[in-house]
Amino acid sequence: MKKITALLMVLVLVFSFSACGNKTAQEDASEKTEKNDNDTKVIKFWSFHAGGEAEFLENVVKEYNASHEDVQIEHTVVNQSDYTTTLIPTAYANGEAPDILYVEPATFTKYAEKGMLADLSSYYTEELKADILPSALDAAAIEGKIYALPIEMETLGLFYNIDMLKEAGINPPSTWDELYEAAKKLTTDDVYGLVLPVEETAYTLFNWWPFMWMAGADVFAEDGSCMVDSKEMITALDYWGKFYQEGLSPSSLQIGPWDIGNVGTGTAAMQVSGTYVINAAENDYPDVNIGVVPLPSPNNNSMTVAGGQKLAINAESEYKDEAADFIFSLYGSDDITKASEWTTEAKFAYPARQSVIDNNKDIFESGLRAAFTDFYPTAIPEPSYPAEVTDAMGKMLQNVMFGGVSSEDAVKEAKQAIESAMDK
Amino acid sequence: MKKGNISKRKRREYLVAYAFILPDLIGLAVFVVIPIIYAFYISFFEWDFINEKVFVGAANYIRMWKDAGWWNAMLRTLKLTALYVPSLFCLSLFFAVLISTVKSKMGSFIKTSFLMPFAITSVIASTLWMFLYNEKRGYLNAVLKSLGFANQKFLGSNKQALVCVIVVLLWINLGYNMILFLSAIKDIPESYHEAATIDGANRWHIFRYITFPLIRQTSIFILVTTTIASFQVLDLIMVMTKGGPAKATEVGALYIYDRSFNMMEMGYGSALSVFLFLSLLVFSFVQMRATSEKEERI
Repeated sequence: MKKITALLMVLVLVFSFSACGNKTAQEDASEKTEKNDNDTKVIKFWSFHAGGEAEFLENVVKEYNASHEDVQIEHTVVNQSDYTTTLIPTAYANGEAPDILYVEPATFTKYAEKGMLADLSSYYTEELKADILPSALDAAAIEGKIYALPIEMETLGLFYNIDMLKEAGINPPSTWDELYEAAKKLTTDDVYGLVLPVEETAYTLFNWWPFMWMAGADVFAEDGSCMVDSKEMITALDYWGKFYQEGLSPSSLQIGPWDIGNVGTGTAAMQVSGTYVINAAENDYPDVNIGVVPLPSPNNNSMTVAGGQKLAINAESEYKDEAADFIFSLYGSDDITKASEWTTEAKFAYPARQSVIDNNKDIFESGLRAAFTDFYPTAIPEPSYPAEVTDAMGKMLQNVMFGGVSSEDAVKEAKQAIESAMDK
Repeated sequence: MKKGNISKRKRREYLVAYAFILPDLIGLAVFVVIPIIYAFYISFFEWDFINEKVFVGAANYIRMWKDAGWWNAMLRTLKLTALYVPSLFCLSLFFAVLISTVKSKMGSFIKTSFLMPFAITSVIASTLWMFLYNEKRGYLNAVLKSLGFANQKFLGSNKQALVCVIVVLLWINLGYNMILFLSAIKDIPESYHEAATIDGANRWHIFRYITFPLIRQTSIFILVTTTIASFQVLDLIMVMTKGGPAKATEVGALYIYDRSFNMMEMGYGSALSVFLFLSLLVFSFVQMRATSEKEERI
């Protein structure tokens, strides 16, 4: 009897696995057969969104497919960390890359320079170009040709626990000195004063850029020469590194540095994060009083960085016109309902188009969003550098944050690496 | 005497045997051998996934030779191996000997609990240990605090990070290797132990002169496979530190991943992989040679 029960249990297990698997396989198969008759053009669209953003995409894809007989969008969701690292390059290598894909500053230049993205300049109307915020359009163009469609701008601010600061008698900091002092005062055995990113990733650089710019430094000068070793860069590095070296910022993080749970669960008093966590701050931590102020600055020159995804079309796609029709109808047409919905309901972000901001003033003025809307004009688009440059910059930060290397030595090493990469 | 004529029966036996092995062989060929050969092939090209492969001869290997970042990464890999392999070997052997003396019910409970970490995926194990290692809220620091020690940075310290990763590796793999040793020890006939005890041997003598020599095959197997595995550690580091802080945990495998996918230099990454493969081959060969020589001397 024992043997039979054991065998039965194994069979049940095996069947339940295969049943789960088969369901989705069958759904895919039937969808495909529906689409593949009568020369319907199937356009592959890969995204990595979840929650409200995924729902939005599912709906718009369904609507588009219902209203277009000859063109069907096949939307697949993949996981985000794979998407931005191995998934897209491998898909290109196999000739299986999607027709429509997302690009972000970390991947945009890399892909565009390798010829992976189609030139979209011809699909832009003059009105659209005028409506899109100039910096957003610049960030999507290389040498005059536009390779992506901006859909959102996500900016960074300083989130903080209102009650924690009040109890310690600290006003929300607005200068670099105030931020440092506040972090020092608020750091205890259980609490970090300020959460900044830790790992050597594109996200850490994203947070670093505004600090670098506010100190008056930059990677390249106007004339294209590398000015990574300027004394302003050293000042910025010294300031940024202080937080980690003195234990005011964590050296390792359990949850992402963007996750507002850092402040929400009381592990940190302050945290640099962006517009993308406003919904989470309001919904997941309703009992915690979270506020946001612009990033503190050294010379009353607060600025922030604007990142965000863009949509691009595969340069090897057979259906570029149809793909362009889809994405421009959503985010680039005169009808801005979908574009508005994306940045106000599906998620919260700033749109890339002025008309959307103008039309949704009430949303952009409510709660934490109002603060972001205030300092939005100070946002500079996240730069999109070649991989060798971001590699050198990431290493420079790590050396100062944790490697015990002085800022002077770190910038020298970075300059060498960048210049030899630029020489190639 | 018919020479050279394998009987029909023998031939059929061979056929059946090969038929059973064939599926596994095919799998090995397709998923292991062919990719390795392909990696050799690509290592002579420059390839970024998108554009055509450009033949560059030995340029990738010359570049590797001069690449300080790569050699630093290999040094860290060697450090990991040097710390991890002996620890795993000794710990799993120690526990195996200990448990072999425990009787039935307790024994199987202990064996199961040792083996449990092996059953969970490395990603979950990493997440679990990140909880324990958390500087301000983690369990380990809470215990240390109650004993009067200061908070340790663990994964956030470039001195401690690699050891922290090794601890997690040990935790995951201890059970499996212990079971291997245990079965080898159980194979030794009780009569040997009895005879030795009668002759006046104590526990240590029994271990050194009877148990240890008789489990040689298992020891070699564990030594070689653990070394190979330690060169390939990637998933734990990706989840816990991504090579940080300040490259303290950037081992060879991670360096290869970074070059291949983040920098999109597949040709160079393949050359590095080939080097890793060859050095492992040499390493394993030397290990097996060294351990088999001892046998001849006895």
